[in-house]
Amino acid sequence: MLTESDLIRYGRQISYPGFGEGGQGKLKRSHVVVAGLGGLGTASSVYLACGGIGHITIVDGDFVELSNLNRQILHWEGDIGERKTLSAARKLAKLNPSVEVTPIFERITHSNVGGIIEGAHAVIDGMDNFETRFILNSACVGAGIPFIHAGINGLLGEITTIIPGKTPCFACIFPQAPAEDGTIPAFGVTPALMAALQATEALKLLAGFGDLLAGKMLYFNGETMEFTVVDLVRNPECSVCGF
Amino acid sequence: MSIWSEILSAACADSEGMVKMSVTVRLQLLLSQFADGQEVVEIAADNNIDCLNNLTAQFPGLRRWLFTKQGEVAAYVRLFINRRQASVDAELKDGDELLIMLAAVGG
Repeated sequence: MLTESDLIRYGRQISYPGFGEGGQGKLKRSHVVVAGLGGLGTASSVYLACGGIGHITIVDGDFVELSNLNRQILHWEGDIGERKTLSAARKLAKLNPSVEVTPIFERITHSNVGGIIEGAHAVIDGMDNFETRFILNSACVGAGIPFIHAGINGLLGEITTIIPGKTPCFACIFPQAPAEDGTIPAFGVTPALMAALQATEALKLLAGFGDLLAGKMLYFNGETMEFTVVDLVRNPECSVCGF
Repeated sequence: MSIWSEILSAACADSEGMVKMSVTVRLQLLLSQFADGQEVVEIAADNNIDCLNNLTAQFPGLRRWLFTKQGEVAAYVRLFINRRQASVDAELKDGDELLIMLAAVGG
C-alpha cells in the first residue's frame, strides 16, 4: 500500500505510462540483494533505494580503502577503515528512510550464499571476481532468482540479465573461469553507467514492464561511446543449468 | 570472375590452393591496440579457431590476449558470429562478421 509520502516521492516515475501506482507497489514489495559494494554495487543500490525497492540486502566483507573512492560512490573520505556495509547502509538510510536496508558483512561463499539470497526477487552482481559470480549464478539458478550480471574494465562494460530456466546462465556464457591477474583498471563512470543499467533492468523486471537484456549481452565502449548488443546462446551441456 | 574476385580468391587461398572464407573480424577496444590500432580486420578462415590463428599470425601481439600459454583459446575470450555467441570451433561463411570480446571482470 503506497503512502501519501510515497505518492509524492515517486510521483515522477508513477506518472510513467504503463508503470503507475501498481508498478510502484510492486517495487515496494520487492527484495533485492546487491552482492558487492564496489563501483557497481554502490551505484546500483543508490538507484534501487531512490526508486523505492522495499527491501535491499547489501553484502560485502571488505573495509573502505582510499583507493576505492574514485568509483565507489557511497564510501567517502571519512569512511576509510569502516565496513563497506555500514558505510553504505548509513547513506542509503539517509537517502530514503522508507527503504529497509539489511547489511551483511560477509564474503559470499558456497556455504552462505543460499541464506543470503533466500527470498530475494533479484540479485545484482556487484562482484569484482569470477569465482563469486559463479557461486551466485549457481545459487540463483537453483533458487530460480534472476541474476543481473555486469562487469567493467577501464572504460569497457558488459551487462546481461539471467532468468533461470529461460536464458543462458553465467556458466553458459563462461564455461570456465578466466584467469585473473593484477588490478583491473577502473574509471568511476564505467561502473556508474553499468550499475544504472542494472538498476534499470531490476526496476523493469520487478514492476513487470519493458524489455530485458534477457539472453543478450550489452557491451559498452566508453572510449568510442559505442553500445553493442549480442545474442547469447544456452549451453545444453552447461554444468549449472543444462538438462 | 571479376578482377576483384580473383584478387580476393588469391588472397584467401592457402598453400594447397584451397579457397578459404573471407570474414570481417571486429576487435574490442583492448585488442585493437595490438592490431596496429585496427578495430576491423579482414581474415581468411574456415572456422573460429582457424580465424584466431590466422589473426594472431598477422598480429603476433594479440596472441597473449587470445590464447593461453598451452595454446588454448583463453576462457575470457567471447566470440560472436554475426552478433550471436559462437563456440571456438564454429564454422565461418564468406562475409560473416566475427566479433571478439574479452570479459570485463572488474566491478
